[in-house]
Amino acid sequence: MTPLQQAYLQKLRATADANAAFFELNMPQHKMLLDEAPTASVDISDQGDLVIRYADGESRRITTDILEMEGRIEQFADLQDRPQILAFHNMRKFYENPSHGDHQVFHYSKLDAEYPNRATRHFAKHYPDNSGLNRYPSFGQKEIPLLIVFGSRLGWHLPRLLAEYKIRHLIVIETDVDAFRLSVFFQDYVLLSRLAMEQGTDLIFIVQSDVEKIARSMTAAMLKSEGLPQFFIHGASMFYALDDAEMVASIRTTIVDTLWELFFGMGYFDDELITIRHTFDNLRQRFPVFTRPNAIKPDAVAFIVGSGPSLDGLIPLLRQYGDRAVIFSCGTAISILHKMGIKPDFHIEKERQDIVTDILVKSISNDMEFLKGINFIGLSPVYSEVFRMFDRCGMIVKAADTMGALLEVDGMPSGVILSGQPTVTNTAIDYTLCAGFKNIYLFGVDMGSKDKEKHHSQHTVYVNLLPEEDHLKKLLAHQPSNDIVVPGNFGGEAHANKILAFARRMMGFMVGGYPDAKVYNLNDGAMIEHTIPLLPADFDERWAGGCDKRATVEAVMNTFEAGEFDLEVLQRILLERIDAFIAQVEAIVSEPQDSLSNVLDKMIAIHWMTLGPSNINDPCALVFRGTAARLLSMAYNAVTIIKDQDEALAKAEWDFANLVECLHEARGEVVKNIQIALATAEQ
Amino acid sequence: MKIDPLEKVRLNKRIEQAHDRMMGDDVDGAREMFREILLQTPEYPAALHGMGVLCVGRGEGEEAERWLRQAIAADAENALAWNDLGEALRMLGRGDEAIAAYSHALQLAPDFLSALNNLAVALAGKGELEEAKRCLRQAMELDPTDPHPHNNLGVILESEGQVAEALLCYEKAVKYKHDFEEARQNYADLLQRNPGRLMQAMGRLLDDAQSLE
Repeated sequence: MTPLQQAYLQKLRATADANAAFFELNMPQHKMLLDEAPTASVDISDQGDLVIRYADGESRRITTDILEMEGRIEQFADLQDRPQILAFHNMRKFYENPSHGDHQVFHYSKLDAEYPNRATRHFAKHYPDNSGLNRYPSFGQKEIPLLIVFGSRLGWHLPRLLAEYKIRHLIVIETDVDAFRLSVFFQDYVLLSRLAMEQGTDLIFIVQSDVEKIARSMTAAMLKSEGLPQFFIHGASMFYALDDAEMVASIRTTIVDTLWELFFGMGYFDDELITIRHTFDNLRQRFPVFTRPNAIKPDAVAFIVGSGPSLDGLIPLLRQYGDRAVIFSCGTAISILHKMGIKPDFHIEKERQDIVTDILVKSISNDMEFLKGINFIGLSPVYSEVFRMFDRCGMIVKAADTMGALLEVDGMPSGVILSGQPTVTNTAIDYTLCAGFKNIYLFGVDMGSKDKEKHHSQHTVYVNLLPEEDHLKKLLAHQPSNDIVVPGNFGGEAHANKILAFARRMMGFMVGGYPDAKVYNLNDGAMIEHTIPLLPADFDERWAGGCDKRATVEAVMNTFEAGEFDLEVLQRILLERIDAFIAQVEAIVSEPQDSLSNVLDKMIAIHWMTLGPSNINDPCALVFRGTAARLLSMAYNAVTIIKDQDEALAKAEWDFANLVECLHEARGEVVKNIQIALATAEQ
Repeated sequence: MKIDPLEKVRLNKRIEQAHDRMMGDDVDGAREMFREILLQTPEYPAALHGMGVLCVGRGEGEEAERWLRQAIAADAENALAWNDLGEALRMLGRGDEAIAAYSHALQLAPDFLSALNNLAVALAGKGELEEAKRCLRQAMELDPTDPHPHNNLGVILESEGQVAEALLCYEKAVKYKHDFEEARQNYADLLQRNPGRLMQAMGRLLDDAQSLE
C-alpha cells in the first residue's frame, strides 16, 4: 500500500471514529448501529481513485456519486419540479359545514364548525378559481420549513442542502443501515451538525428499515420540543438520494397516514365544552371520584367485556366463571349481556354525549329493571343522567382533558387521573390495572378481527338495525373501514381500523406498565402487547379459582370517594388561564409580519402554546388545542398557495383575527356553560 | 371602517394603479378606477382621497373639497388627506381654513414636510412671514435636501429685500433638484435684477463644481 493509500484510508477511519464519538454523545441509538462494520469496502488506487465495492458485487466510483448528487441538487432547485408531500385538506376543495351535522345535537356550541366555515368562505370568496394561487405550497425559492431527505448515501448532499437553503427542520431517513454505516466514513457528521446549528436547522436522523417505525419516529420528531406543527407536513419538500421509488412511496404514504393520529386525540373546543359542563355538573352532584389506586386484593379477578366479535363464542365461559369474578361491561357490550341474561357487576361508559342515556336504554330494550344491582363507572365527562341511571356509581377523572388537567392543577394526584382512551375497553383496562387488579381476562376485546367486515359482536347495536329516524344509527353508520393489518392474538393476521389499531397500542402500553398483573386475551382478534393469549379451550387450566365476587365489588366501590371541590375556585382558575392564553395569542398575532416566514413563526408559536412540553397538560392548552390547530392548518394551507406575497400576508392577518375571535367567543361559551352546570343545583 | 385585510390589499393595489394613471396624465382613466372602487366599497378612504387629489390636480377646488371631506370623515387620522384638503381650500381662496387643515395634518404627523411647506405658503399669503419662515426652516431641518422649502424661503427673503440670502436659497433648491424650473426661474430673474451678484454666484458654483471633483 502506498503512503497515499495508507493516509487516505486513515483519514476515512478517523472520520468514522469522530462520527461514532459524535453519535455516541448525541444520538446513542444511532451509535449502536455503527458498532458493526459496513458490508461494503473501499478500494483506493495508487493515484487516489476511490471505488466502493458492495457486498452484492456491484461497485461505484465515488466521484460518480458526488456528481450524481450534484445533479439532483440542481434538479431540486427547480421549485416547479421539487417533490412535496401533499396531505390534509386542500383549500381549493371547499365545502361548508353548517354545524357538526348529525353530531350537532350532542354539542352545546358550534364554534368548530362556524370558524372553519368562515375561513373556507373567506378563501372561496377571494379565490373562486385557481387564479392567484400556486398549485402546491410555496415558501419562496430558498425557504423550506420541512425537508425530508430520503437516503444518507455518502452524505455529500446534506451539507450542500443545508448551506443552500433556509431549512427549519431537516429529517434524514435512511432505510438501509448498511448505507448509513458506510456514510460515516465519508460524511463529517460533526461538522454537519455544527452547520445545521449555525443555520438554525433542527437536524434529525431516522435510521430504520421498518416503514411504520419510520413514520412514528417522524411523528415523534415533529412533536418534540420546538418541532413543527403536524400540518407542516403538508408541503414538506423531499429530496431523493435513494433510488428505491417503491420504498419512498411507501414511506410517504405511511407518514401521511400516521400523522392522522396526531390529529386524533387533539380534541376540539366544542367537545371540550361538553367535558367542562358535564364535569362541573358531576362534581356539583358529588358523584364519588376514583381516588384510591392499588386498593384491590391480589387474588381479585376482573372480566372485562367488550363487544368484539369473539364475545359471541366466549359467552359460555362468562356464564360458567362469572360468579367468581367481577364483570365489567364496556359500552355497547351491555346489550349482549342483557340479551344473554348475564348481569354485569359494573357497567363502564366513557362517551360524553347525552345520547348515551338513550343508547343504554335501547341497548337493554327499555328493560330498566336490568340495571338494578349494576354499579356504574363513568369518565368525568359522561353526562350526569347516565350516572343517575344506576343505584351506585363512581367517576374516574379523565386525563388529556380540560377538566382532568384543571383538577390536577387544583391538587388531584395525577396517578388517579386516567387516560382511558380511545375505546371504553381501554377505560376498563386502565381502571382495573390502576385499582390494583392482578388477574384480568378480556372477553370480546378483539381490537381487530379475522374477518374484515366483522368488527363487532353480532348482538350489538352496531349491527342490529335501529329505527330509520334514530340519530344513533346515523352516527354508528360511520364506522371507519378496516384497513390495517396487525398480528393476530392466536397467530396469523387480524384487520383493524385506525381507532382499533391505536386502541390496541394504547392498551399494550398500559398493560406493560403493570408487569405484576396478568392480562389474559381470550379473543381471536388482534394481538395486544404484554397480554397473554389464552385459547378459550385452555381457560380451565389457567383458572386459579377466582375471587369473592361480593367482597371485590365492594372493594371496587371503595376505590371511589365523595370529593370536596370548590367549584367557584375551579371556575376562576380556568377562566384566568383562558384569559392569559388569549392574551398571549393576541400578543403573538400583533407582532409585525413582513414575510411568509414571520407568519409561519407565529403559527408555530401559537401551536406550541398548546403542545409545548411545559403546557401539554395545561387546561387551556387542552381546551383550545384541536380548534387552534385546525384554524392554523387552514391558514397555513391558504397562505402557502397564495401567489402574491401581500395577499398571503393579508390572508394570514384575517385568519389570525378569525382565530382570536373564535377564542373570545369560546371563552363566552365556557362561562355560559359553567353557569348552566352550576345553576342546575338551584333548580 | 373595518375592511377585510385581503380586500384592502387588492383595493390598495388598484388605488396605486389609479395614481399611476393620474401621474401618467390619464386623469379620466384614474377617475374611472376610483369610481369603480367606490362603487365596490363605498366610503373607502383611499379612493375618496384619490378623487380629491385628482380634483386638486385639475383645479376643481369645490369637488376636491367635497371628496376630501368625505375621505376625512371615513378616516380622520389621514394626515395626507388633511394636507390635500388644505390645498383645495387654498385653491378656493379660503386661506384661514387651509391653514387650519395643514395644521391638523401636522398635528397628526409632525414631520410631514409637504404640510409644513404648504402651511408656510398659506401663512405667507396672509402676510405672516415670520411664521412662514419658521415653518420652512423646520422643514429644512427635517430634510435639508428637499428643494421646495429652500425655494419658498427664497421667495419670502427676496420679497423682504434680502437678495444675497434669497439667492443662496434658490441655489440650494436648484442644487437639490436640477430640473426645478420654478426655482431656476426665480434664481435667474433675481440675478438679472442684481447683476452685481453674478460674479459671487459664479464663484460659488465653481466652488461647488470643484468640491464635486
